[in-house]
This record gives sequence, structure tokens and C-alpha cells, in this order.
Amino acid sequence: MRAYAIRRILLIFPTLLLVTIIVFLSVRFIPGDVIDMLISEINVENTMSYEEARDLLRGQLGLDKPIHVQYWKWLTRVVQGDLGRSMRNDRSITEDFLAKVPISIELGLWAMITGLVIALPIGIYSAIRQDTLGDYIGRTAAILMMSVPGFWIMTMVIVFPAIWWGWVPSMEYIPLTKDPLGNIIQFAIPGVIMGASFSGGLMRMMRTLMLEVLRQDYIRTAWAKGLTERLVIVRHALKNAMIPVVTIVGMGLPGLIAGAVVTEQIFNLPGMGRYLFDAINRRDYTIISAMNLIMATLVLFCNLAVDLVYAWIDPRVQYQ
Amino acid sequence: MAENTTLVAPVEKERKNPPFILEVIVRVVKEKPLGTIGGVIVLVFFLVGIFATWLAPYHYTYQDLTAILQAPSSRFLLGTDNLGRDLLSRIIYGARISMIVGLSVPAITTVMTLLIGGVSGYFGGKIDLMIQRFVDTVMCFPGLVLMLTVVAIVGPGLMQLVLVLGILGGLGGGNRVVRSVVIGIKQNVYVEAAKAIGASHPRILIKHILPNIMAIVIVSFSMGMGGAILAESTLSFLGFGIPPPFPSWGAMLSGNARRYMFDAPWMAIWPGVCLALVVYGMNMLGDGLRDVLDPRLRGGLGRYGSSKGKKKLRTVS
Repeated sequence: MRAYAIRRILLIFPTLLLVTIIVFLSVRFIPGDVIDMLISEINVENTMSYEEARDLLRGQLGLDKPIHVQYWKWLTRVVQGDLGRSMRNDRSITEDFLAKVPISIELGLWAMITGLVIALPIGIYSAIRQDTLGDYIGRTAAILMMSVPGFWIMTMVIVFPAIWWGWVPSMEYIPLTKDPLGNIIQFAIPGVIMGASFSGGLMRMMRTLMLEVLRQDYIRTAWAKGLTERLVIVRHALKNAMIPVVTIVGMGLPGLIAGAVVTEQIFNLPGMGRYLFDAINRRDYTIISAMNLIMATLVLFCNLAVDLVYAWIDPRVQYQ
Repeated sequence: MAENTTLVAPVEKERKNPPFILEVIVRVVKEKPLGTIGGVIVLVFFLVGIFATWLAPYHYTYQDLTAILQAPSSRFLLGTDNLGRDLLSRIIYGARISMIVGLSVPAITTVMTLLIGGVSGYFGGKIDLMIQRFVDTVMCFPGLVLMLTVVAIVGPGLMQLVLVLGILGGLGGGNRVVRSVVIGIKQNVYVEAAKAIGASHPRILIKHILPNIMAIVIVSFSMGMGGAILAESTLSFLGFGIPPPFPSWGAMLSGNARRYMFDAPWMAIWPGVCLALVVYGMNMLGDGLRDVLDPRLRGGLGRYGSSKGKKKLRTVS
């Protein structure tokens, strides 16, 4: 286990290195016409010559030095927690980003918890009543959850209550400290819809895992002992089927926290996804690359955590 | 022995290949009612897409400025939008875009998956290690975030979108499935035999390994269709997909249209219903195909199953 943990931790370094290189290089792929556009925007009052404006921009983007020097400078700054500054308004990206984190985490947790609450009971029921009507309904519902686009449901949730009852969810962010109840209501609606989309895949996974466990010998033994179904399912089957669920929870969480671009856009929540999306819209490339770096690192470390937790809670897993 | 394999293999292939797809379809229809329903839904939308020009009462850019935001009527069956365009016509043309995306994106993804996964699994060793670190890296970026970033650099348009979605899909986790299956197949005696008679690597890959992973190719193609359409509509919804006036279902729910939905709720309903229906059909069809073709993949682990989750499951059981 210890050897495995060390090996697994060491394995993230090459990936992390590649991530930083890709993110770093992506700034250099900005099309030339965008650079020209940016130059004209910097130089909006025509106080500089074209060359001056270009040099200023190149200095801001760090394009004025040899590439390996730039990379090293950028990397050492990033490691120290300095993600650079916005190309547009010169604000510190680290500060702005930290302000968005709680919002994204709150939304991600809502989605994750809703997903689990919907998916686990239905997935388990589907498995223990395999090929019954209930199973078919559960499986169909799971595929339906995966098929209905979240942004459409969110649109409907905004449009129809407004028409029927004149009620619209709040489009201003309500901080938890100011109005706890308003904050919870505000996050519950988008969070539950996100969670419902997420629950589709989770439900199918839970069902598969449960079916696999139910075919094991120790389950037959438990039945043979004359245990009630409740005990067989809860104490013997569920305990083992739940282990891989850790994987999904861990791997799904970064996507739900960082990838809520659409949700944050529709409900006007100032989280990480929204921050990135606004940056893409304004072509603020320093923010785009910083956010990509953060999200990739988040996923990387979540995967690491999942693998380590997994090895720790499941002693049957053997690593060569 | 060696001669036998060369003699037998081509004959068998010639006989097997054409009826293979047909056989699969017959089995899906016979054994998987839900898969069949899904297939019918997909077929209907596919035909609507092909014959959009004849089916749609108006062209998708046709504007009747005297009939802005009209409720469904006998003239405009689903009503009109804020520019006086017939929603039914735009939805019918939207089917064409969705079908183009739903077929071409998985096609590109599948080819790339086969190339990357095949090479990685077949050659193994250092090549495998390097390719897999790269795949690891790409998989670190959340899907939508990566798509948005790349589309922002490449620019909007149907062609660009199809290429970006297809290539990113191919670089992602799908090639792990191909890789692991290829690793299994290359240990078979017939591959050894082909090597022994001096067959080249491309020949072994194409003639001996590819036919054996056709099931996975078909399954991953059909499972990719719904995802591709969802991704396209999401990007179009965010304004980074197919630019107006092309009637993408996702774009019909976004932008300016949103301001008018409170007065004209019919604008909000139908594009979403069509999206949900067509993706649902594709997922059901994919599920049915998978059950028929590859019992090992049964159960659907989604995107988590392609790499780590699945590897672990095997070690557990």
C-alpha cells in the first residue's frame, strides 16, 4: 500500500508538468487578428504608436522573452500562488478566483448531494429487483436524466413559474452571511437540476456494481444462513458495492464544481465557471489559461485522492 | 499452421462482413424493444434532417415581420419567434444540423480512438507510456471547459465545431477502452501466427485486430452520438457553437430569444423537447447495441468506466 501510494503520487508529476506546458503554450496560439484587436483596444485613446502598444501587450503576456525563460518565470510565479493579472482590467487573478471558490463549491455540493440522493436508492432498487417493471422504469429514468439537456430544464424553470405565478428565481447573488435562507433557495434550484443530470450515470453505475456484488459467493452464503433480505442487502451487498462509488464521487466533484459554466451563466451566479466564461467572451487570455490550469490541477488531485482512498478502504485491491 | 491461418482468415471475413451489421440490427429488433424504439426515433429525426427542404413549410431564414411572436396557429404550427420566423421550419432544419453533428463527430472520434488506442495498446512499452501520459493530461481538463477554450481559439462555425468536438473526444478517455481490448487481442495465437509469417504491423492491425474490435467500435460510435449532440447544443447555447442564422436547437434557446420567452413560451419548449427526444433515442439505441454486441461492457459506466473505474472493477472481482 505504501509503495503504491508513493508510486501513485510520483505519477502525477509528469502529468502536472504536461498540463502546465499545454496551458502555457495555449497563450501562444492566440490568433494574430486577436492580438491586433487587443492592441487597438489597449491603444483606444491613441496615446501610443502601434509598436508601443504591441510591446506593452507582449510584455503583459510575457511574449517578449525566449520561450523557456518565459515558461520558467511563469511557473515559479504560479507555484508561489500568483496566477498573474487580468489582461483587461489588471486585477489580480488569484484574488478574484479565491472570491469565486465558495460559490462554486456550494453549487457543486448541492449537485453532488442531490445526485447521490436520487441515484443510490433507485440504482440499488433496480439491481435487487432486476428485470421487473420497477427496474425498467428506473433504467429508463436514468437514461432520460442523461438525455435531457440541463440548460433546457433551467430555461423552463425560469420561464414557466414566471408566466404562471409571476415568480422568478433571484438573479442577484445572495451571500450566505447576509440572508442564509435566500442563499439556500437560490442555490437549491440550479444545484438540484445539475444533480439530476449527474444522477443518470450514477444510477446506472450503482445498479451495475450492485448486480456484480449480488452474484458473489458471500451473498449466497448470507442467504443460506437465512438472513432477511434487508440484512443481506444492507450489511453484505451494499457495503461492498459502495466502495467504487467513492471513485465516482471523487471524479465527478471537480466537474460539478469547476464545470458549472452553463448553470452559473443561466442563474447568474458569480462562480468559477462564470469567471472563465466571461474571460472567454472578453478574450482575456491570462484568465483563461490560469483557470484552465486550476481546473486541471483540481481534477488531477481529486483523481489522486480517489486512488489513495480507494486503496486504503478496499484491502482486496492488489497493486503489483 | 501458418498457411492455414492465411487461407482461412480472408474467406471467413468475406462471408462474415456484410451480414454482420444486418445481423446486429435483427438482434436488436428481436431482443431489445427499448433499443428498437430508440432506433426508430433516431431514424425519424435522420429522415427529417435529410428531407428538411421538402418537409419544412418555410425556409429557416424566412421572416414574416407581420407575424412576430405569434402563438401556434394553423399557419405556424409551433408559432413564430421574435424575428417572425416559423419555429416548426427552424426545428426541422435544426434536425439536419443535429444529425450532421451526431454522425460526423463520433466518426472522427472513433477513427482517432482507433488510431491512438490501437497504436498504444499494440506497440506497448515506451510509446504506450508516452501516449498515455498525454491522454492523462487531456483528461485532466473538464470537458466543457476544454471545448469552450479550444472553440474560443479556433472560432465558431459548423466545420470547426465538428472538428473540435471530434478531435477532443478522440484524445479523451475512449481510446483507453480500445487500448485495453487491443492488449488482450494481441496475445492471441493468430496474431502470433501472423507475426511469424512476416506480416507487417499495419497489416496485423487492420486485418487481424480491427475485425475483432468492430463490436466496440459500433458501440462507442452509437454511444457517442447523443453526447456529441448535447455538446454541440450546449456550446451553441453559450454562443460558441454554430453562429446564427443557422437553426441549431441549442442556439434557439439562447441569446436574444431568451428575452422574449416570457411572452412567447412556445419558443422555449420545442427545441428542448427535440433535443431530449433525439438524445434519448440515441442513448437507448446505444444501450441496446451494447447489450447485443458486447456483454462485457454491459452496465454502462459512463465516462468514468473507460479508464480507472473499470480497471479497478476488474481487480476487485
